[in-house]
Amino acid sequence: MLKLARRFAGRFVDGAEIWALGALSLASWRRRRRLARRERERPSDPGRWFTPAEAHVVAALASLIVPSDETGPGAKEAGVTESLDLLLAQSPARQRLYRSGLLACDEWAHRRHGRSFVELAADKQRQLLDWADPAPPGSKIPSSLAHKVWRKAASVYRKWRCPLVELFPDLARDVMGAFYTHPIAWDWLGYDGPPMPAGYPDLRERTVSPTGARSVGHPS
Amino acid sequence: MVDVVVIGCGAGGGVLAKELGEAGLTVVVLEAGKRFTPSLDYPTDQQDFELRAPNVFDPTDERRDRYTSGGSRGFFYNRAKGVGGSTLHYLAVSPRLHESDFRVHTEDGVAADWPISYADLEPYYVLVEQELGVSGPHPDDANPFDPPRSRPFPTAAHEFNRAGWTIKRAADKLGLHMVREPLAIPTKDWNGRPACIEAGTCGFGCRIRAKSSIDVTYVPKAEATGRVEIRPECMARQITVEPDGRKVRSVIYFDPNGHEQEIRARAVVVAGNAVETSRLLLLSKSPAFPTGLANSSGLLGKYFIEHLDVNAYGVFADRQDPWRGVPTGGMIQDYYATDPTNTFARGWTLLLSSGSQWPYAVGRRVGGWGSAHKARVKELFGRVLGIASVGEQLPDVRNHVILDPIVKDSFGLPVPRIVNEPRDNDREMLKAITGRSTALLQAAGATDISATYYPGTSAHYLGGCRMGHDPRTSVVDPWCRAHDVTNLFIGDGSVFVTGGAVNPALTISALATRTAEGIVNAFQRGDL
Repeated sequence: MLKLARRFAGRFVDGAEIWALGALSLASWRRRRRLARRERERPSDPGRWFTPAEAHVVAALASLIVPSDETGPGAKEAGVTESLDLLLAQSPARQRLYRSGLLACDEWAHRRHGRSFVELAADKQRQLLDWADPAPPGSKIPSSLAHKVWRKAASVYRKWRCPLVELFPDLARDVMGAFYTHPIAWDWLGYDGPPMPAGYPDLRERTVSPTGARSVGHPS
Repeated sequence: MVDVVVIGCGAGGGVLAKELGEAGLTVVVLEAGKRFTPSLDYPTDQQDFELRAPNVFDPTDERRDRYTSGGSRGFFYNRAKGVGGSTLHYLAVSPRLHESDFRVHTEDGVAADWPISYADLEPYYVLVEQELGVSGPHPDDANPFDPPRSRPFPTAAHEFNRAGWTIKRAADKLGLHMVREPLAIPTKDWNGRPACIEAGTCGFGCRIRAKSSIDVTYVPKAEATGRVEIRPECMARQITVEPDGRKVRSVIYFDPNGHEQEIRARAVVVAGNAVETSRLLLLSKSPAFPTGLANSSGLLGKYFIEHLDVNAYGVFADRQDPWRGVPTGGMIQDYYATDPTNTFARGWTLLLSSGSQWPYAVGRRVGGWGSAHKARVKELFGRVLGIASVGEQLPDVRNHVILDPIVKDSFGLPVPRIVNEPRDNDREMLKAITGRSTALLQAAGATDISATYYPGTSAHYLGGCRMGHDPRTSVVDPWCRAHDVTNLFIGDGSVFVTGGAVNPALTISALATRTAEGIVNAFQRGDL
């Protein structure tokens, strides 16, 4: 019976976070006003969703998550911002997350450094991501109900303080999804996909991609 | 009134539908999931296949597949619902059980014996392998641990790819006998379907219908009889019984619009996979069966078994590129039989596991982000190989499936609650599997070796309605007919007494073929 009650309480705590965040965000009228202003700047093109300002922030974030550097191409070369724009246009669930998360980047930048996010140098921008990453290595899974409640309370506070915390896991997933499925990334890694329709009937590396476009460069 | 209602259209239900239909019986199959069209529904030819293809079999409402789990570590329950069942996303590994698997208690003093022998099932293995065009080694290259075969494999074995040769060389060094695993993936054109082209996307559905999943093999033949009707998106919620409780009367189910329907039948076969079958019988309480249909033994849902799936990974200096070829790349059964020097009974099969090494999958598995993450992905890409195990978990009455007292699914039905813990024998075996797989990867030259195990990831769910002669210690008889209910049959892996150490789909289909024969005989005798 106590086990059952504990399970119930645990599930309640999980659900309570959503309500708490919702309530807290409604309480911030300044934030609501800023968001309303942004809604008026949305593009009319059905394949796009970011406002011009948001697109710049996304480009900056994507370039931090998958940088262009000496190891190879990054989000910029793979047109990740454009891919995410299309993705967001079709995904109302994502729009909610991105809307407040992207605004939070500028709020943080103004609060900390007195300027907008894209005006900051990359190393300062990276500070925000380091703070916002909610799954740093070594974090433990809560063991007791009290520990779980404390962790949830701390998580709600962080997400309210800077909604980028809530956005970050999905943003990283979406940026990597757009990058690692791009031909530029496949070329850089030496991946001769997609699997179908050609398959690999002789189990050997393809020398020409199925679209006939380029030679995939990796020696067998 | 229809002759037989079959619940579930997977490795068991789909086979029963064809066999019963071809024998002249009228059949309705209630399948909770959708019907898929391979050429349209599997986007494995797209640039963004990694983002789209893994979600194809997900339900539109995630509450449909809700479950809960107990035990100290929980349980990961993974299956596909649809016409074809879990064969839609399975990797088609199709070995037979060994002779010893049917008499574990007699041979090793643990668990229980099946009420049938390997010899009883062998003719049915032949029939299923022929229907599926199972590929396997030439007798000269045969697996030395194979059980006796009265017929050779219908199609020739797949070739080893680069990754396979890397592991095979290591296996040879260690004196292990790595062979090509039997695969329900024909290597020549089969029954109007093309031969395999080694695309490696079996787990996302086979776009060209080369993989012999139930929907492209048994289902078309079942429907061709003109006597079998498959009803997708129909979720059975209860089996009703006649007032005397001795026979089933009808099945109540939700139709695709969510409306309740009732269908009467002379016989009912439940084949929803071991978790769903026990769940449905537990939902089908009545005055005659207050603890669940056909549960006079009290063992319904109990002795629930999975396989011990240890996944060991290693990193290689040279590119292995395992995605060229089918997702499993070879099999080792040197550790299958009980070794008296071990601290545990029974054993396991090892499989080279080549799946999930595409770019985005690798990117997601490497933690973090930024330049370090990118550099690590480039380092690892194409250089990681996995060894998976199919370890025999001993049946334990404490491992069970029950109805969750709180949580409901999208239909408002109590979800299954699964409790499955590795017990003493299992824990000892897990250590040994980890050691042997690590040694194999080391012998192949891998570094950075790691191994993980999590209950449920084998995706092989067995037991819950085990077979036996004695109604006090089993739920179904040797022909998979419920002891308590003369026109109720179980057609999936619920009937397994022990799990063996092989992927169970082929055995499930062989048992279903035999169960169908028993049902047909019962109709002909006038019992049903």
